[in-house]
Amino acid sequence: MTHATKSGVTHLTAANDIDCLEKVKTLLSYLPQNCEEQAPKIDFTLGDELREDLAALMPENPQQPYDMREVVSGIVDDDSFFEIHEHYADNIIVGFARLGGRSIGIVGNQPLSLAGVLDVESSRKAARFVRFCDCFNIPLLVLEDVPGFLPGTDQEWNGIIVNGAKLLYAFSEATVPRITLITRKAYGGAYDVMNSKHIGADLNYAWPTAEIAVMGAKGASEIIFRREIMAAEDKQAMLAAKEEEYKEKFANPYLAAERGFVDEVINPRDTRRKLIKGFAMLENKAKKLPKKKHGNIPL
Amino acid sequence: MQKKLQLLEDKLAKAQLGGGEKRIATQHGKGKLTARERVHFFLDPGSFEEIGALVMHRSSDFGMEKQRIPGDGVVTGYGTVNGRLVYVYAQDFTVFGGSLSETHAEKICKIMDLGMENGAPVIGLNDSGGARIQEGVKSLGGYADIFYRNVMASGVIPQISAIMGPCAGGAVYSPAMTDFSIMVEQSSYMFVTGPNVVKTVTNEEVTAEELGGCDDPRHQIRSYSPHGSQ
Repeated sequence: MTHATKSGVTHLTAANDIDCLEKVKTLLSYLPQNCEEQAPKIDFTLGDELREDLAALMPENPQQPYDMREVVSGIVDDDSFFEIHEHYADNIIVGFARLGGRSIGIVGNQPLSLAGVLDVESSRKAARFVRFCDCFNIPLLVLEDVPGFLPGTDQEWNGIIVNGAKLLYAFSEATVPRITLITRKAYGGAYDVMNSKHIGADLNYAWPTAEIAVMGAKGASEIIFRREIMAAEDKQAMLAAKEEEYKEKFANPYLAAERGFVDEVINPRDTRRKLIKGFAMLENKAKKLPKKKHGNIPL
Repeated sequence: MQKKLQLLEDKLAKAQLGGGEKRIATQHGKGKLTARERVHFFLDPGSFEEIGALVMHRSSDFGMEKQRIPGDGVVTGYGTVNGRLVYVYAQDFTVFGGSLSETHAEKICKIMDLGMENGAPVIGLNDSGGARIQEGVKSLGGYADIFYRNVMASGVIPQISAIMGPCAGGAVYSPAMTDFSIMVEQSSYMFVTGPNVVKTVTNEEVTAEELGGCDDPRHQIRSYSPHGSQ
């Protein structure tokens, strides 16, 4: 019904004039003056930066949701997360934060809403944010827990193909420092889209809880082991056994790490330190796109 | 000299007052600040420098020649936020309902050009009834001059739109092309065509708030969340 929740026309809302102007000031504090400059950086000295609480955020059961905002606040500088489009397409979160005093843009799947799936609106929301950050030299941090793209006629008829492609395009084109952390699921085409190594991310980390695969264990087992399951006397038991076999083999970060698609599998408590050092290492990244008039993002 | 200084002071004092005390009281009555109050609150204390305080419209149709107010419904200039340069324009709803005339648009374009050339963000505080109908196509041309600059500035300097009152018709396309929009709950709305036109064309009955407001999402999220979480 409104521009904050339905259309996404407005990025932020304010209770009154004063609140509105304060929020604009806060927003400006994360931004550079123009596309030639860097955002202001706050002085920072690296300590041990261990965050023992991060691991506890991950539920034992991989089907259980958790709040990606808590992962964000467990990683970034205290109280520095400034969320954009908070109430629009809430299966993805985007916003600015500071990490080691440096301004960054964060894109994170939100398991609390629709299991963090990518759909038409969340793809568009994130794509626009990624492009803004790239315009203004703001490094990108992607927190990934994505079960895939949302199925259904509603999505297909509203063009999930071209809309999902916007996010894929936006990440691929971005020349700012780009780091991805896979906290849990990274499935199917959505794995490629969410700032994968293949489309130009600079550093890709995964927690030991990561599951990087073409699809979930159940769906995959039904296809791969179809003959064995059909031939079995107890089909359910066979499916369950094959599902376990598949999980054991594929639902982990190590196959991706073996191929270098993931640079490092890290203990969650080390995340903040790794990311601060990673962005510092990438500070002088200079990447040029091929010469062209302009690209043709699938609008 | 004394007389000349007095003349300048009189003119500037008139510009300070915008649409006059009565309309300022009405603005306050709606829980809104005036354009000048907004600019002063937004910028670091004492940092605001105004550009174009004495600009007036050139229209002589429909009796407009008798109503000329310095500033012409928009306060424009530059200042600092936390010590960093920004350009700002604030539409003044107390002057002709903040409506956009040819000269009103020229003032906005002037600071947008400065923002581009000097590499600093442009922040628009929107509060306007729309086009200055008395000026017809000149007003539309004014909007397009702003749109064109929004596009040229896109990706060069950050552009932020605050919607602090009505924003309807062609006026919505400038915020749509800036990097970020922020709307004030209860007092702002945005739509391409308003409830009356909607009723005529599609026979839908809808309030301005429903059509293009931004209700407090914290109150609405349970019923309105597009993804039904929480």
